[in-house]
Amino acid sequence: MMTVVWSVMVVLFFNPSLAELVLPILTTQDVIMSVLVIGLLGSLILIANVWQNVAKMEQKFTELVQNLALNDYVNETRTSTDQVDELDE
Amino acid sequence: MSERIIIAIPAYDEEYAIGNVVKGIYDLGMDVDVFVIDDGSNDETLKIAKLHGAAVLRHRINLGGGATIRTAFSLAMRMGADYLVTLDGDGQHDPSELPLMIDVMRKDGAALLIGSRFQRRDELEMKMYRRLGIRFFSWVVSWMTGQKISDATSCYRIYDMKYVRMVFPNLKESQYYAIELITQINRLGGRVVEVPIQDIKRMDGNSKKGIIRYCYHLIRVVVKTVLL
Repeated sequence: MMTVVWSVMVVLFFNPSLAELVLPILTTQDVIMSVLVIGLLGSLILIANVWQNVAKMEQKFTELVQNLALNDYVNETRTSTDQVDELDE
Repeated sequence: MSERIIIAIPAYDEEYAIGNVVKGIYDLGMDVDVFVIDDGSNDETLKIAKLHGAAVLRHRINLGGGATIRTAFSLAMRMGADYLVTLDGDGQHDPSELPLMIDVMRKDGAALLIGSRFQRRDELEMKMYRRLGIRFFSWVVSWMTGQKISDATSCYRIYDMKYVRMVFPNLKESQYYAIELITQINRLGGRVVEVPIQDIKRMDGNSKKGIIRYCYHLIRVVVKTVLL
């Protein structure tokens, strides 16, 4: 989404006459409505993006805790096996 | 060569019940490895499980039941298990039903065996809204997979690890994986079978599932699975 917005900005920057082609078709009310709708859509996309990133982070965090649990278990087992070996010796 | 069976018991603040669950399994005298996966409990769950002879894994913080089962999958894969059994640590599942379940699993060659609470209706004590919700989701899963499943959310299960190994890397859900897992096993041609189990009323403590959050996530996973 951000890529599209920036691409449009760049195109308009280098070729402002393109905006003049569209504007006469729209009344002021249409322009305001368009801005509002685009703003709303943009916000929704932004929120969805943030939501998705939070979910990804949560998943990574979950995997980290799971791996720690498995490693703790492996280390604990190894330590107790070593202790038994030492006692045997 | 004999097969290796791992029993994983997810537990969160279950100090009052975990001892009996572990003891109930050992009393069966089966050749199994019992693991309690403590999901960041604040009570003596870990200590009591160890005292009763179970091996213990511990999440440093509470992740939830689904994530705990995923830890059990990783553990079972690392340990080269042939079957993974999961049952709740709150005492709602009767360990004495295990031998029959394992027997059915072996004879049937199923990919997943689910202990269904709805095949013994006379003994089921469950709130109406919960019962309706589970029946609805089970119906949806049956429709999606073409396999008759009466209790898609039951945690008393036996997994054939061959299928778990194939499906595990593709699971996207870290928490509400149950439906996703059944549909993926189905896509691989694995069969899901059910056996009736008792649903024992918990002795103490409360269910950790918030009903609205739980329903929201189930719906989300169903929609995602249908669309993808």
